[in-house]
Formats: sequence, C-alpha cells, structure tokens
Amino acid sequence: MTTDRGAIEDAVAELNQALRSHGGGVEWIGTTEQGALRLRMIGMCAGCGFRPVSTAATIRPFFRERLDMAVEVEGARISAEAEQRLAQALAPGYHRAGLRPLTGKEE
Amino acid sequence: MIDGIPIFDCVIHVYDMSEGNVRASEPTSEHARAHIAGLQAPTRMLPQNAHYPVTVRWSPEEVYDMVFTHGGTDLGMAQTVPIYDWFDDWFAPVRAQYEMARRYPEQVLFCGGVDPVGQGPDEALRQIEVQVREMGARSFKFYNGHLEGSWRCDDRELAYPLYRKCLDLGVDVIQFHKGSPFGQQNMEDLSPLDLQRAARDFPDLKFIIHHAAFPYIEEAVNIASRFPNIYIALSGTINAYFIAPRKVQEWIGRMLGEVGVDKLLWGSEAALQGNPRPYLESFVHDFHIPDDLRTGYGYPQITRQDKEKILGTNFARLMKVDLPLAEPAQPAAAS
Repeated sequence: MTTDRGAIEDAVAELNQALRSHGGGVEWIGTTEQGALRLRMIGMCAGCGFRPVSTAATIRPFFRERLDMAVEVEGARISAEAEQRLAQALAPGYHRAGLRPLTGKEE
Repeated sequence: MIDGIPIFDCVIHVYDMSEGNVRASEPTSEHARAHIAGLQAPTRMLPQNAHYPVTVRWSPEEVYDMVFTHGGTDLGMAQTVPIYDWFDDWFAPVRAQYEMARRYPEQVLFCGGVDPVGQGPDEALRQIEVQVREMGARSFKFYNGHLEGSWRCDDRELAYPLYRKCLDLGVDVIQFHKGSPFGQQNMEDLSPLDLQRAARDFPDLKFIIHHAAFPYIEEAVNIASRFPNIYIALSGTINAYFIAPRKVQEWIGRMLGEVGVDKLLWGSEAALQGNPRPYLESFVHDFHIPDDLRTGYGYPQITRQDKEKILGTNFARLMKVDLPLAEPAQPAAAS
C-alpha cells in the first residue's frame, strides 16, 4: 500500500485513460480510515447502472495491482453476495489475463 | 446520543398549526391542515408520542424538551417552512425557528426561509440578507410547490438570484422540500428534477432533497448519484420503519448502494412526527438490510459506521460544526 500522493494521482490518470472508453472516469476524493482509496465516478460513469461492475472488474483490480490498495467507489457499493457473484463471473477473464482473481470479499 | 452515536438532526420544526394561523380565505386550508394531521396518526400510536398534540402552535421550549431532553439528540437545525398557502405566518415561521436557535445556541442552528413568488423576488433577496446578517441563518429552506405561484428551482430569473445571494453571504447549503405534498397542489411542482440544472450551474452550492422526494424516490436517487453536490435528507423517511420496515429497508439499501452513505442525512421532522427517540433507537439497534435484498438486489449491508454518518457526521461536515465523538456500542446493542 502507498500513501504517495503522486503515485495515486498517476494511477488515477492511467486508469482514466482506459475509462475514457466508457465516456467517463473517476476522481480521487479521499482515503478511508482503513486506508482504502475513495473514488467518485464522473462523466458518463456517474449514475451508470453498471458502476458496480466497473468497480469490481476494472477499478479494484487495477489499484490492487498498481498500489496494493483497496478502493471504495461512491455510489457503487454492493452486497457481499453480489460481490461473490461478480467474482465468480469474472474469474475466467482474470485467469486468462494472468491477474489475481477477485475473492468476492473486496467490499 | 443513542447507544454512543452522536445525533445531528437536520430538520426539526417549531411549527404552528393552531387555529389562529390557518388562512381562512383559502378554501382548502382546513383540508391541508387535516391532511398534515392525519399523516401523524401512526406516529401518535407510539406510547412515547401518544400525548403530543398535532394541530397546535409549538414553542421552542416544548420542541427542545421533545427533541433534546427526551429525544437523545445532540444538535439540530430548526427549519423554516415557507408554506403560506394555508398558514398566515407560514407552517414553520421564520421567527419561531430563529427564537429556538437564539434560545439554545449551543445545540440549535437556524435555517431561514424565503419565497420569491409569495414575497416577491426583491423582498426574498432582502430577507435572505436580514436572516443571515441579523438572525444568523446557516442555511435556507425552499418550498417551491404551491396552489398558485409554484416556481421552478432552476428558474434563472426567480431562483438563481437567491442562490447567488446565499453564496455571497457565505451560505453554501440550501434545502428543498421535494415530493410529499401537504395539500392539493400539483405534485409535479415538487419533483426534484428541476434541481439538476441548478446543481450544474451552482457547483459550489450543496443542494439537499428532503423526504427523499417521495414518491419521486427513483428520480431523487438517480439525481443524487450523478451530482456530487446533491444530498438526500431522510426527513421522516426512517420513521416509517415501524409501519413498513420492508419499504424502508428497500429505500435505504438502494441509497446506500447508489447514492453513497456520505450523502444521506437523518431528519426527524419533530415536533410534527413526535419524539425522535423511538425511531432513532429502532434504526440504531434493529435496522439492517435483510438477506434477500442483499442477494436479490445487491444492496449492501448497513454498518454501525454507516449509521454514525447518516445520523450525525454527514450533516456536521456539511454545516462545518463539531459533534461529540462517537462511543463504542454497548455489547448487547451492537449491530
């Protein structure tokens, strides 16, 4: 886990290059008491019904790989049960990409 | 505090529904008064609230006794309600809210109120100035849906000068009664949809949607999830947990997931809805998101930290005031 502001800002910028394809992105709005990054979706991502999917499939794995940090995205919080379902559904994709699979306990 | 959780109630009213305040010249006044009173029938069935009257004029001391002495509340905001359609001195008069804040300055903040149609735009602007500079208003409450004279919250001629005046005077939190019509006015005038352009045009203002705009709750959730400067006040909403727990679980679960816990605010609607303690204790001790809503809808479980935010720290952050620190839950009551 890093507390380097520059590293976090660089990672957010890098992620946002990918999220441009969604017509939106994220902005860094703080850090939780537990040390997780707090992000807010912007542009077309704000209010999108698929926020939990982008959070679980893209945003959390990205920050875990880059900075070893957990992430909370405002307005994209789902139940542990839903996290588990997403983790199972996304597992093959992570396997093919050589990434660590989600555990379903990221909330 | 309730079980170690500090309480900042974003909306209490020193209201006046006495006979003397009813506007006799308006034929629907008695209907509106009876409608508002009828809505309180379930709250008066609770033993803690059975003895509280409804259609009366409340004093600051009586509201303080209910909300603070017996209600477990630490801080509160006394809100003006500019409903002039049926009440000569408005439903919750400016002066009464001010008097409560003046009487209890350590615990009560004053929320002013104006109406650009009822008073005229120039007088409304002048009143904002007076209520901030001379009466210490920390926020303003707007009620834009009327029998005659409804106005849109994104009206550049009527509404925007009010918002600019608030900002000029250092008031950056403004509040709107949305949904929940008290009488026979057109309900669509109280839809929250007209807050979108206003929120875009005034990014430095925070807009609070009261009552979750019920029954426009879908719209309120969608808007609050897209605009970082729009918040939802659960004014009177959590109180329905006694009557329809399932509904409240669905509302709160959805808002936790889509709006985010940092933008949800507790409001009791006392004195109208009675002593807030039974609602607060129920929310702190019992409220949860049940299994089927978590598995079937993906709504997240609510945590004690979420409850602390909703019940106090979120509004304290908005109003830039300090709340007492939370204390650990009693083991038997921890959720």
